[in-house]
Amino acid sequence: MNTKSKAVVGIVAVLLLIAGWWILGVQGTPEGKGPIKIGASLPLTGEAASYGEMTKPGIDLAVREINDSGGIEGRPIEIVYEDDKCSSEGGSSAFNKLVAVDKVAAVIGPVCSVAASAALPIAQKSGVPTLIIASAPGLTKIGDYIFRVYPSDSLQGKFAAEYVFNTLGKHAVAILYVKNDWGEGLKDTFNRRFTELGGTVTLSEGIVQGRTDVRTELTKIKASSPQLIYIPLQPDSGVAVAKQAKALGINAPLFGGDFFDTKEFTTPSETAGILFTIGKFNNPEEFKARIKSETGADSAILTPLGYDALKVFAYVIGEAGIDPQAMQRELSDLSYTDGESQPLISFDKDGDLEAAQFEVRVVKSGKSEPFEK
Amino acid sequence: MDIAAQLILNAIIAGAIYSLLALGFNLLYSTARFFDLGYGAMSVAGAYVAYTFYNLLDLSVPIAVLAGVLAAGTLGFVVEKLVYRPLRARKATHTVLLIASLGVLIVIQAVISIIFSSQFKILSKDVNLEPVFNVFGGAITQTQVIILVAALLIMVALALTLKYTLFGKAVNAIADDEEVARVVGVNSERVIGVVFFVGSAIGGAAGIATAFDSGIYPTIGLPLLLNGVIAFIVGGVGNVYGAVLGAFALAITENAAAWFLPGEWKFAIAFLVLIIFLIFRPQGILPK
Amino acid sequence: MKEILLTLRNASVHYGGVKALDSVTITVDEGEIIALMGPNGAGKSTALKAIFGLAPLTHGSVLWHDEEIVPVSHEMAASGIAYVPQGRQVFKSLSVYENLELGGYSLPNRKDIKNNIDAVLHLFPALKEKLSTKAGLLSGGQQQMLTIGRGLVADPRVLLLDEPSLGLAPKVVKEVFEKIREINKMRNIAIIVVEHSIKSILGIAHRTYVLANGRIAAEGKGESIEQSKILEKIFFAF
Repeated sequence: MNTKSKAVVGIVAVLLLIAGWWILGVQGTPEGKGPIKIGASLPLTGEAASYGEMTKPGIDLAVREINDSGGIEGRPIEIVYEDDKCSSEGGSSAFNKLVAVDKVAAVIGPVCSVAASAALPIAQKSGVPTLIIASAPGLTKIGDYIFRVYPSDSLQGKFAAEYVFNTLGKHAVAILYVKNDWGEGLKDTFNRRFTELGGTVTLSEGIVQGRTDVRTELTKIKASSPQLIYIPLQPDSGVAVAKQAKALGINAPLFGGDFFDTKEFTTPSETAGILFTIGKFNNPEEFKARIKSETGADSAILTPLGYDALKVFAYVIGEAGIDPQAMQRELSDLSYTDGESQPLISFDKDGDLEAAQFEVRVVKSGKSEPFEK
Repeated sequence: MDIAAQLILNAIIAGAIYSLLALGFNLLYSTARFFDLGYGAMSVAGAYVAYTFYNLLDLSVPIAVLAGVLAAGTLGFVVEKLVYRPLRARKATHTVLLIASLGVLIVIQAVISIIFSSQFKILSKDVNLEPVFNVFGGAITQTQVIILVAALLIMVALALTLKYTLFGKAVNAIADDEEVARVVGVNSERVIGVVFFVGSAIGGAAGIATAFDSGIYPTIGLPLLLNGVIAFIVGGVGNVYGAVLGAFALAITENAAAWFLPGEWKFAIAFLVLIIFLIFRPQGILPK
Repeated sequence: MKEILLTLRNASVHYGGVKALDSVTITVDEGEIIALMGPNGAGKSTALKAIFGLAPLTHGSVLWHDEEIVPVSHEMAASGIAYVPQGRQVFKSLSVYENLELGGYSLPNRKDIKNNIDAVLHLFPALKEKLSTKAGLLSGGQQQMLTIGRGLVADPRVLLLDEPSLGLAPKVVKEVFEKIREINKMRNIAIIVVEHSIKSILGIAHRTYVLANGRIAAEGKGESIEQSKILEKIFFAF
């Protein structure tokens, strides 16, 4: 290529870059006209993909219902999805794009605490109200623009400890947890409550997210003779533990956390019978039917949450407009009773759900169902 | 001493798999004379083909394993013919071949990720029904016993082939001096092609064993490859018996250390062993 | 009239800009010992390599039993041409026996390998006690015997020897050339020897070619070469 052609290519490239930037940049949510953009950061690929997949239809249905009835003050909602891959890099790039490039008025998500801890400071700094589904305890403390529509793990760990000690009657427990915000949060809160109740933690081992060869840790755990093993792990490691524990002849039952309600975990045959805790929400039959007929998807636990999150934002914007501070005030005072997931959505001073409930489920026939002792 | 027995059993299983990895790599390196990183991808490919036949198509284990091993071997053969041979004919340097093999590893793993998703998978069904044997207080499953026996058979078959068959002697000749081998009449290109088939098939077997034992994901090629390479170097480059020794030495060290250190250190320990050997005994445990 | 076995006809080999061989013609009859002589870089080794398919011909051809062939190095042994490269290139990590075995790699009938090895051991009895020794541990002279012996296991009609005396003590060199003569007499194998050591080779060669600068400077029977004093001219010109 001679110099002249190179120059031409260079100029065209620069022009294209400028045009692209302009097109992307000017698409913020302008005052008073055009669609209202709301962002959603979900794990659409990776280990938690089923969680992302089940949240999306709820959001989509809510968007459709609102837009079909004229939008908010005549302005339609435009939802912008970003895949945060359930990772911290994914979370920060998703939020960077939503906040800086798409200039959304609000964000739903992330679902994964790993993505959230990297992403939320970005939202807080730019004052973008965010309704998260991630559960690690410290997330809402990142700032006053962060609210949670899913119970905090400070409650989940406590609930699990009480259930294991009181209902299951196990007083000596080993813990195998994933080393990230979510796993460590659960480990700490479980540990604290369990020992408070009088139980002993025989051994506590942490593994890095994504590890699938856990034979050595299990060998050590077996040697400490626990009556039960608490496994706040992500699905891949959870499946590996289920299999390798059996292979090592470990008979103690396994008890996990809310990452296990995904088909990645429930479908392999080795996980049958494993118990886990998860936030309790309603999934009304009528709602399920609407989801099925409008989006074709089956409503699972996070679907009504996604739906409610969007509807809450729509309500808040309807009352307070898209000014961030006004939205934030409205959210802090929120008393929303039209939710599908639960009767009352309101937040405490940290931004956490005031009415938080959990349930214990068991893996059966490739799915999960509520567990009755 | 239940824990000790269990750790020893864990080490033996790991050692058996590492041995296969090291042996396959040894075959490739001693004849083609470069570090074939693509070898890791053969293990992954073999495992995923076995997964397809066993879990997706619901065929029996022997058929799935055979399919996986043949697939890995064929893939290795094709890659040698299409990628490495032209480069070697043009007298490409070791660096160029290394980079090309890295490309092979990345591309194959990427293709597998696209087809199968990055989801972690274990090849097994009805794990609840699998017999677990008690050996001096440690547990070993039937699958693991089968893996051990199979690995042993492969090692013995390989050693016998290399020592007593004409083909094996041709391989040794090429490993010693390819040009002189050609002078005495060995069609080194054809032999190397077969070597790549066999070596990659063995790598595939190791990948399949891993899939059944602890599970796989598309990018597991690199860790598997590294274990094989470290065992190969520690055991003594080019020595078949050394490769096996190196593999077990590595497995025992890793498992012993993991008792005292967090599991994440496993890889660090493997590299530490490698570095120690490179500094103090670069020819390995059993020099050629 | 002896049959012409092998001919290198009008061969040229160009490496980059260098003419390693320039229109060289060499013939070998059945049972002859041919010497290729000349100073360093004259193209002697290149001529052998060209015959064996290890150096690509830019011009010219190779004729085997009067038929033009394209020499492919790993197929030559099967055709009956064995090559013993310069530098005592044994398979260092393999035993003496394994080295000899590989010499018979191209034999159509595997059973012949053992018989041929026995014949070679008759010729080189010093190798008999070293059969299980690694070839890399042998002395220079023993390694040379081994490479020649390895070539013979293939039962060739023509043996190409490249500088067999290189790096060997004079006494050993004498032994080597006696063996070469013995091989030629007893088994009627034609031998092309590339040699530096003038006296030794002129004593046993039937015909000699003298190369200089990639070309044939002279050819003829041993005595005529000596008489023409061409060797001094060529060697002292350098």
